[in-house]
Amino acid sequence: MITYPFAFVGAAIIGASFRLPRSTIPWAGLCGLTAWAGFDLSLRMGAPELAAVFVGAILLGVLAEVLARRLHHPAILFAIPGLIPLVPGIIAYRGMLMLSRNQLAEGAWQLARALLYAGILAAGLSIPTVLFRRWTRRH
Amino acid sequence: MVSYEHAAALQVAAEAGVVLMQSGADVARVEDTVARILRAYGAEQPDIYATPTGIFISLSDEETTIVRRVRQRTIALDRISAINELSRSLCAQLQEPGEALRRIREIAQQPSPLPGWLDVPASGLAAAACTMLVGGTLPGVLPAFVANLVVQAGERVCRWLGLPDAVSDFIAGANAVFGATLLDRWFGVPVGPVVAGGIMILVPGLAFTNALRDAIAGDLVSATARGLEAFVKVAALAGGVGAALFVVGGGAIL
Repeated sequence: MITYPFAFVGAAIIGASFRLPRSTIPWAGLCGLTAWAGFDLSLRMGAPELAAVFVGAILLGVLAEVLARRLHHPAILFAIPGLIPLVPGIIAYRGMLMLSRNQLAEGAWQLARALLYAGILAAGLSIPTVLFRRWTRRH
Repeated sequence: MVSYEHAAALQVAAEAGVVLMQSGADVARVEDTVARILRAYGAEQPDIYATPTGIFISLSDEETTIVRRVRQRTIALDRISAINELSRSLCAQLQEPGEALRRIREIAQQPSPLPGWLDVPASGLAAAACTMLVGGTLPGVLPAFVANLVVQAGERVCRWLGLPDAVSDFIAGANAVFGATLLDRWFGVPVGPVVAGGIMILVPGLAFTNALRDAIAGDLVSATARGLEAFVKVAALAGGVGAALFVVGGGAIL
């Protein structure tokens, strides 16, 4: 639970350095928190890691679309900072580092895991976007 | 509508597309916005092909085509929002193409909402927060912030020197290890999470994810380009970290 405030702060500040308009910065933090909470709570309830990522991404996608309609900004403004806590950068990096140290099998496994993470994040994020676009006018 | 106006509308749409692409929008949004602007100006059946490195637009009824090269790409969410707003206002009320073009150039030039002097501290703080998400400990947050200030400042210096991205990523990766190693020697903070947090915000996890978003949307060329961009970045970072670990003789990391 101690990690939750850091997910909020991390997403909000990265949002700011991605040049978010000031009024949207706290909302970006909320997106990061939601994605992280979805992931963390699913893990605690015993979901497999990748399923937990999927849950986090879906929640993030829904929240980003809702906020987009409420605050009249494109959803991508909320989705991109919100992704930060779940993004598989560290895994990809770990994989490359292992490759550079000749631990080929472990490195390849980590890279494959990073790709799965990214794919599932992207899929989870796309589903709410597609559904919302069917119901409402695009923002 | 005379063809002169179509040519002007094409300029407006292309400029908007370029700014969007440079600000980190996904291909679907770029193509969508360009099409919306062209339709607002009465162009029918525009064919738009946007990639992260260039945008091609052609009006099939007019036999006019425009090609615009896209060079630098960062993430600038305020510009994406501003262009989006402009394209919607164009649909509601048409502006003179010259006026719209002027407005787009204004958006491209607008300064960041985050004051310049806050840029490095903010990135350091974000990295310190991320340290906690990858298994860091609470007492490690402040040291992580300090180490990441060094990494971020080094990255700005590299950019200012005009070094290629891959080179500055290599240096950033090495800097993260050096900073974390010093913290380890002086304060006994474990190295792993500090390095991890420091490179977390440099690392292209976002680029990987966006590449796959483009792939899911069916924009395969763009997905490949973004994926390769991410791969080069992560390889350079890991190379820098690996080289620095070799120099400081560090053990297992992460």
